[in-house]
Amino acid sequence: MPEGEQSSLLVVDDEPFNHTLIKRLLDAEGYADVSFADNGRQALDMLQESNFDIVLLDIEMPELNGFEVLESIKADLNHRHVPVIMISGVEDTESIAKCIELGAEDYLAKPFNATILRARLGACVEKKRLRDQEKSHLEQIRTEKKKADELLTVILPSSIASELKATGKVQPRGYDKVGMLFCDIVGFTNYCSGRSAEEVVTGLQTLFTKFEEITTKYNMEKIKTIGDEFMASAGLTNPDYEPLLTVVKCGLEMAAAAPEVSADWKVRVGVHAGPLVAGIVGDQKYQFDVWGDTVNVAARMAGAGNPGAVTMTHDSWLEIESECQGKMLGKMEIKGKGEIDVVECTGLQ
Amino acid sequence: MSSNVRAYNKASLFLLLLFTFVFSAGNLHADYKWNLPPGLPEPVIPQSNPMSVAKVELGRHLFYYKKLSLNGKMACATCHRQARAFTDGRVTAQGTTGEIHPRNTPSLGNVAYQPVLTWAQPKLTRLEEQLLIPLLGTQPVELGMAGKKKIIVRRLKRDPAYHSMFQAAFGDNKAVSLENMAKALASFQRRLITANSAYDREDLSLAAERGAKLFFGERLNCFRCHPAPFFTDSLTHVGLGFKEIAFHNTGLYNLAGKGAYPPKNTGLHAHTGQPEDMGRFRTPSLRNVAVTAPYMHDGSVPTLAQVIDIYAAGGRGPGRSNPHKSVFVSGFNLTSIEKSDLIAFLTSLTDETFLTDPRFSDPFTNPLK
Ligand code: HEC
Ligand code: HEC
Repeated sequence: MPEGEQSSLLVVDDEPFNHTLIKRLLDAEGYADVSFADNGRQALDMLQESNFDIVLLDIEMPELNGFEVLESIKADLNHRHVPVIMISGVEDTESIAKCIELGAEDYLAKPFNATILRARLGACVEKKRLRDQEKSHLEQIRTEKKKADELLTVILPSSIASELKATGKVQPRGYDKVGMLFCDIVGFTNYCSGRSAEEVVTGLQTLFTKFEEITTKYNMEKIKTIGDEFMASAGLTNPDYEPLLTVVKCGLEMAAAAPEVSADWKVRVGVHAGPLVAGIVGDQKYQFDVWGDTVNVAARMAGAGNPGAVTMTHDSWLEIESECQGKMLGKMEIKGKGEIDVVECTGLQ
Repeated sequence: MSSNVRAYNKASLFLLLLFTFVFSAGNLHADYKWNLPPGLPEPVIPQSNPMSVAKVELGRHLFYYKKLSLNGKMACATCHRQARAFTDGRVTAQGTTGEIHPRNTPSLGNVAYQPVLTWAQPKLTRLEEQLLIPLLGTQPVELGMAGKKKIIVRRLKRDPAYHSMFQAAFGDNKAVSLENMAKALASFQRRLITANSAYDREDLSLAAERGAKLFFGERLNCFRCHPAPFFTDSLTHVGLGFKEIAFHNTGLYNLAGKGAYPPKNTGLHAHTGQPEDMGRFRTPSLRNVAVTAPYMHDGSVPTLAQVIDIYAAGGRGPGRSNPHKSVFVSGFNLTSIEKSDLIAFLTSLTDETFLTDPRFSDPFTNPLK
């Protein structure tokens, strides 16, 4: 009975006398939320205005008869799932069959019998409850999936995310020329001591949010952050014909932005451009990542530079010098490459 | 009765000659994809007439081809209408010359699973043979082409569209022949599979669910002769050990109190002469039954409600005491609500997609592609 009390019913019948009768029967069964319509047209209007759990529909009505109302309900995508119980004559088997064919859930024969009314409504409420449960379960799955998808595009470059969604995996692939950028905070350890963890995290968050803004502006891809280190690329999933220049410009802007976020923040940036391999690691928790010499060199450059500058190899410098200002930092030992000349860029020309 | 037998014998004599050289053609299209709904077994296909897409499509064009009748006004589809699950809505069929057939036109849905064809012909097992009866039969005249076989072939040859369809289906220049026509028509009819009703989709209304309980229950016993999934106890399919063939007397008549049925419609008895076979007919499938009225072998019952009344009474009038009546037709009590529930269930066996599937429709008014 509590189920019944929660259900809202619409009774469509052209006989006022039947309204009273049905109301009394439904009251006795605990159905409190009952509305009445005198004809088919009114019923269809009421259905547009509010939601009903069950419709009790008389077959024989002037103007719009029960068949026509039933057909309209079943043709309306918003209401076709509302169960309809037809009210019919006892011997009216042909009409009943027709209604079932048109999608009615059940029928009630006149004169009404309380036991049957109770059973029919009860079964209908129960069936609707199960159906709704199934539906909300499906909806839940759908929203969770949507959330996961959204999360995916936050974690992964969007073209990679789409491939992952579509095929369930991402092929690792090699790129000929990608610009890599590493940016780390000078004296982060010092900064941390004497500050609460919360303060540190909030500060980092503000800074990295700013960095993301800048990379997005340059159409670059954020790869990841590792502690106080921020890592991004140019020309990986978004085409870029001068990825080195892009990462240099981006690096300069980041270096300039950091003190604006907080006077304590100073960053140094290392860049490099060249071939690399990109792909996804992990199965449950995806992590997009890049590998190769280009990545290692860029990371080393970041470690070698001065605060507020963008550091790169001399070979890289030759590529962009026409656009930039900079100075030689000297030679540096790089694993697998021996001694290399390193240049720091301090601004654009 | 004797005239019926003679018609049947004439046809079978002709067939004997025909099939000695007909069913030896090569296997042109070995892998036919049925795409059957889940759970449905594959129909048995004669080795001499494997299925192919081209044959089915040619068969469809023949099924709706009015020039297969003497006066060019009637096709198979005139009596077997898709919207009525390939029945005609008439009490009994009427041929192209106006002659009345003694029997009601049966549905062709799932005919591929029938081990024996028509209302009661125990020896008629192949669709390739059956269609020669309406085409060439004279007892009664249906399409009226008796003695006009050459005309049929000539008409088809003269039509370039048919000529090329025959070639596509049978792959040689002499493809247009009565034999190949029979094969293509049979292939099309085997394709007429219906299994997408609310019952199949497990989407029964509450009323129909109650009706199903009655139908499959011991009180009414309907399922004994109309078992799921084909709703008939006449059945053959791939993997079935032996063909299930059954004929029953459901107590519709009892002429002169001697158990007899009307002379032109004595059922199995017309073919066996056995007294106990009087009034025994093959159980019709109940799929799409809501659109195939009127009912029974002679169309003598107009509505489903009346069919149920007859079963509830254990037969019709004096037929109730027909000595050959099946023990499963012994009557039962049914409230009017239960009757409506049972009808709601029978109505839920209607497969709307089957009744409107463009692949089975008239190619002249509804060409594919
Ligand atoms: C004049 C109406 C009429 C025409 C035309 C007609 N049929 Fe029929 N068909 C019937 C009737 C009546 C029966 C039942 C015959 C019987 O039981 O003796 C039948 C039975 C059948 C059956 C047996 C079905 C079953 O369930 O066993 C098949 C198959 C069939 N017809 C196919 C065809 C084909 C193919 C054509 C065209 C070549 C055709 N019919 C033309 C009226 C017609
Ligand atoms: C003893 C077997 C048997 C039982 C039990 C039985 N039927 Fe039948 N049914 C038949 C046969 C045989 C026919 C055809 C009889 C004839 O035409 O003479 C038939 C015909 C029908 C038809 C008409 C179909 C048509 O296309 O013409 C319907 C509807 C039907 N039965 C429904 C039922 C229902 C409902 C029940 C249960 C109450 C039932 N049957 C029980 C054997 C049976």
